[in-house]
Amino acid sequence: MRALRPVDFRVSLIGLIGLICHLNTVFVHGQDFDRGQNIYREACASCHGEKGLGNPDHYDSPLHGDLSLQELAKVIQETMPEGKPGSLSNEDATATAVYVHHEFYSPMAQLRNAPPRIDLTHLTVDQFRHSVMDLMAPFTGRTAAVTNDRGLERVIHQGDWGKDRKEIEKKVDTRLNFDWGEGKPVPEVDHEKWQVRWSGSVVAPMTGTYEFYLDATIRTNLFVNDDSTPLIDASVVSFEKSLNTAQIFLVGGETYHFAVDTSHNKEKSARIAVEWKIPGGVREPIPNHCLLPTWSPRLLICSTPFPPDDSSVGYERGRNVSREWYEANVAAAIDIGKQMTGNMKRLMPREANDPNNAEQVRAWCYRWVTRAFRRNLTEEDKRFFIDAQFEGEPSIEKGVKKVCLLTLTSPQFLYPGIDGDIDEANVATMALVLWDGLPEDWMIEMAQKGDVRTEEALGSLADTMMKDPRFRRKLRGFLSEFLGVGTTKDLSKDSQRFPEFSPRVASDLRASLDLFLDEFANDPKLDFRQFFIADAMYLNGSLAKIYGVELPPEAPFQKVALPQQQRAGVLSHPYMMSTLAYHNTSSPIHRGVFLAKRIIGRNLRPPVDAIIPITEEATPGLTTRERVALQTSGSMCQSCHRVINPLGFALESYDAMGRFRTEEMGKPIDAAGQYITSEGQSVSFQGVRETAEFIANSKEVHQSIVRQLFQSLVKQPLPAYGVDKMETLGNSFASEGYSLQPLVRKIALLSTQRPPEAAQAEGQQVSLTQPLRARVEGENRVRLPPRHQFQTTTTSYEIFQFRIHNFRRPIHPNP
Amino acid sequence: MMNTNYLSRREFAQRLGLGAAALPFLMNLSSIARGFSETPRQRLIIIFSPNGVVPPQFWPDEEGDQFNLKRILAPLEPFKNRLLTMHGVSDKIRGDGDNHMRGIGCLLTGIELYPGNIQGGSDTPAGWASGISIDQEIKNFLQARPESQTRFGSLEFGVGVPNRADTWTRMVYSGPNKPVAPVDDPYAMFNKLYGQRNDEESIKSILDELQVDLDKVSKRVSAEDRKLLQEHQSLVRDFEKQLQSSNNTIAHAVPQLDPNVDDSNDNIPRLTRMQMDLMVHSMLADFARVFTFQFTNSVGQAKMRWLGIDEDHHGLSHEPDTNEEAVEKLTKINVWYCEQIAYLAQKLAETPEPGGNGSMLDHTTIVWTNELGKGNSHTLENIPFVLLGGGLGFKMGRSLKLGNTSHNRLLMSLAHGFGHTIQSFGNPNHCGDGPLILG
Repeated sequence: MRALRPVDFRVSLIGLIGLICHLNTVFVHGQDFDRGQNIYREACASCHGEKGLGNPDHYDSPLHGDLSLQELAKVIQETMPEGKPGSLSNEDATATAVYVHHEFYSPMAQLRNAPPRIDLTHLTVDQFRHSVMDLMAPFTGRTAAVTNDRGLERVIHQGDWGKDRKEIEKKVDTRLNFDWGEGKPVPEVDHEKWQVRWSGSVVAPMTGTYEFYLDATIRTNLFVNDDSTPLIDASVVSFEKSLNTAQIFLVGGETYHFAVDTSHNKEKSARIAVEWKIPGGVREPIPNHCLLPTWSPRLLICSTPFPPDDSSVGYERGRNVSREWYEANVAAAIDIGKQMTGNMKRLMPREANDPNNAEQVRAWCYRWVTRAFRRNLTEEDKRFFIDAQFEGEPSIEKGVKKVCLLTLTSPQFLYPGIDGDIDEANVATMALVLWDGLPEDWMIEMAQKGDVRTEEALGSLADTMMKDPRFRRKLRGFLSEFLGVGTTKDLSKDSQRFPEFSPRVASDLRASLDLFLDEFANDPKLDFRQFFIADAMYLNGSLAKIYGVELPPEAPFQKVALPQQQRAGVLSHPYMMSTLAYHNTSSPIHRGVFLAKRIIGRNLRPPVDAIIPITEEATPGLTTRERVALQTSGSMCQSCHRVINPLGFALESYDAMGRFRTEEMGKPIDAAGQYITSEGQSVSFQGVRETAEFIANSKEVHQSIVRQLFQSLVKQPLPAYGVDKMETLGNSFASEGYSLQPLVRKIALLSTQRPPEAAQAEGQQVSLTQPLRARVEGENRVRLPPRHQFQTTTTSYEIFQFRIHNFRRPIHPNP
Repeated sequence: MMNTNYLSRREFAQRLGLGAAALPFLMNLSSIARGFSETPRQRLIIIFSPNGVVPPQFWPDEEGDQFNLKRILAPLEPFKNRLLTMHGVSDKIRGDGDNHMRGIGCLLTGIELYPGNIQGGSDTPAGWASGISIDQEIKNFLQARPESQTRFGSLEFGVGVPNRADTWTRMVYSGPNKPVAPVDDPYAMFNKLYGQRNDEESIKSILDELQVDLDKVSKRVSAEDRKLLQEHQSLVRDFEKQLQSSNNTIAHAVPQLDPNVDDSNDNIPRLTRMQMDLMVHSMLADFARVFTFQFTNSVGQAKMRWLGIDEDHHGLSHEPDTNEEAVEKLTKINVWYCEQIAYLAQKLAETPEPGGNGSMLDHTTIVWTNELGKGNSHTLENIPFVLLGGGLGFKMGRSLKLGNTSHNRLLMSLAHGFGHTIQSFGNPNHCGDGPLILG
């Protein structure tokens, strides 16, 4: 690798200064800009590329970021050029920063250089699974809205069927673990034969394979998503075989029919326990908040494994097609066809496999394909997609399978809105944005009648749709995504230092966080700032003991108010604090990255080198804060860690399992934090409460929420709908009481507004250059604040020998 | 069965994921390709029908190689010289459970049922059998040897088996407390055997239309978005090529099933034919060497209306011998079962052994059996055991009178016929004199 030699640099710098002195001209962009441009071209472009896009042989990442101009200048001054950092004068560094910031570095410059557009996308994996579920919903029934009722309905009967059977008791039960010994479930039972049935629904917190465990010494059947064929048939209790297990794939956020049927005859002892293991979880009793006493219909589950969606832009979207994806699509279509035809009697017109009813089955298919394509079918469509599949096909079942296969692999199903008129496309978009699924039949009818032409009509449609449980599910999904807790984390802690911590505690902590997130999904009208500042937390008896709260040991989850200075919303939630930590110590870096990147929405570059965290042993006597400060004190590190560390330090009051602490290694905790906004304003805070107050009221955070919510719902870049939208939506979020509901409504409406058809259709990009240019030039004139007080600890820098430019793919303890 | 669906689907996806949709078929058929040079194949089919027989209409009076077939076995007349009737083999397993339960649960396992909660008749309740069944024992033996390995090893067929898992509905056990459910839906069996192949046919049939559809919509989008759809289109084309190439390399007959046959009592005759045809096809493709075929279940209640019998089989089987009408009906029922066995034997006799000598029947031994000797007495003595075919080295064309010997010995003989010389099977107390010498 060819490094720029300091000599070259000095020569070019002298020449440059001379040039500027001689020309003494007024430049279009101001002196700084042109001076910076010259310095950049002379000294930087060979490694960073003419346009800052990088050079594959030297530094291949583009120079994109969101540091303020003055921070960028400082980074340049301290780290550049390679091999001789610190050799640029402050003025030259500033000039270079002005040029770089304006031309390609700043978010605005990035937008200008690569204006985002609304891309054609296919359904994401989640959207695919929910859409096929929706496809069958009119034929299976709809899930009821989730209420606050939890637990399962338990009915006890006694006696013989068709003889003396009678109901003894009916109530809601909160657990599925009973040992009646040789006795009876309730004293009122006075018959040798008795039956207990628990029924209702189970909520699957995430998508994946669930394992159910049934341990019973009496005849028992366990039903999940199917009330006729049990998932576990333990009718026979045979010697030494009381435990039965079975797996089932469930789509996350959905509610499934669930029932446990037991009957006692002559068995000597009666015992029953049901447990489950969620994907990536541990075997545990099904938490009460996942059990509902209400009925749910049987859902059509697409369990085909898909390759993960492209999330390179920070959110999942269907922008990549690959062989694995297409083959999964085909396999899923085949599987769904089988499920449909396996239940023909149940789902289709009566006697669907009677050839005399072929007409009815076809009519059923017309309706089904209409739903799948989210638009009305033409006569030609009907012939093409349905009739032709039945021609010359003696088996109705095979015909239905072919219709299913063609429909679910059709671009019209996979790329929503690719076809149909504008109203149908709008309704389809709203269904994806608010539900990740398909519009209802009545919505397609509305579109056909032209009843969704006005903003008012679309708005009231959005209001209606937001009352559906599917919206709750989608919003809940966003909240998990926002916090980066969409998948289960393997959470374990040093057993010496944290003997109280166990997989069960990890699972309880997750449940506690889930309950908190549920609040905001269930009531999108809540003031979302509470997300960061609420001083209450969900605890059960065993968590309370560990986290120093008084509750009876067996207490179920309940909301407990905690001292304001100790807890603030998700920021100090012990699940978050434990995941954002090492197994033995806290991690201010993980916490700082979490705050900077996820919450505030800052753009952080991956670290410049493979870094192994300094161990406690290597630095005896240092607190975690001191150790991290030492580790990241190099100026190259500081380009990001100057943002990360002071944020993470503010959460140092929480140990690796999220317990509040006031000292570490005998030294008092220093939870002083600081943040320099992207506008260059410096804010200081002390501990979680002040941090939370800052976060909750930060304009940057509001805009970050707006952007992430938009992208999570719409799966398109927000600026493609207007470069000013992040700011205007952010402002209205604040002015309308920080409630997600009106914000989502605006997002839903915005998602139906497209750039002019012609521009998109001809592949032209909407020109964003002009207004941006004006804005950026304005930015140039911002006066720089006094020079930053920052000290480079050269010693530690040298100790750790960071080979600054000597890297390809960094390996780093990334959160 | 949700689990089966799930697995086969996952299997399918995984195989697709391997990148070669044709791979599974190539793998499945590898044993055919290998088959021509190997030692002769041996196959076993165990067929179960329920509720005992009418002994005077079943067992030949004579002993030895000169015997006459009675009414029930008369349909097997064409195969008389390859027939072995084995009077005097008894299920001596006792313990928990009623005779129907032990009749089916110990029939192929030769060992007691575990204590459990299934209450039948007036006996003590019981659970599942406490050991492996002989068909699975032989299957494991064959699968452990490369020269006799097949895709499935064994296939468990059924007809009219009630949709519940209990001691009366399960005959096959892969181990203690591990009953194996028979597949009684020919479409499900077809899917198991040919599902992937069939799916491919469906995929191929719609690919042209999918291309038309993709062409149509890609005209409506911008140039930039069209790139994505073009990529999509080329994936479809590649997939099509892949399917075509897989097809050219394999010439393999997939049987045609009658469409739209309901799983109902009145369809039992049609379902039986479909299942038996699938069984023969799976032998041709060498998918397995060991087969079981379970008509209904122990205490089976088929109503053979197609024979003009409206009463259910089990109900009739409880009638006393003095009820001549009932005895006549029971005889007719058993004749019908025997006709099905004759149909299967005929098919096998007509089909040349692939890559071998003679017919498939020469390499296949059919065992027809029952959970009871006689319905109204619920006896486990003189369990109907009729062997038909060849390949196990038994001397056929005989009527044997074995005088109340334990059926464990016969189970051992079957294993020994395959070269699996086990010293005991099931409860060793009933294996005392070793396998029955049938050669």
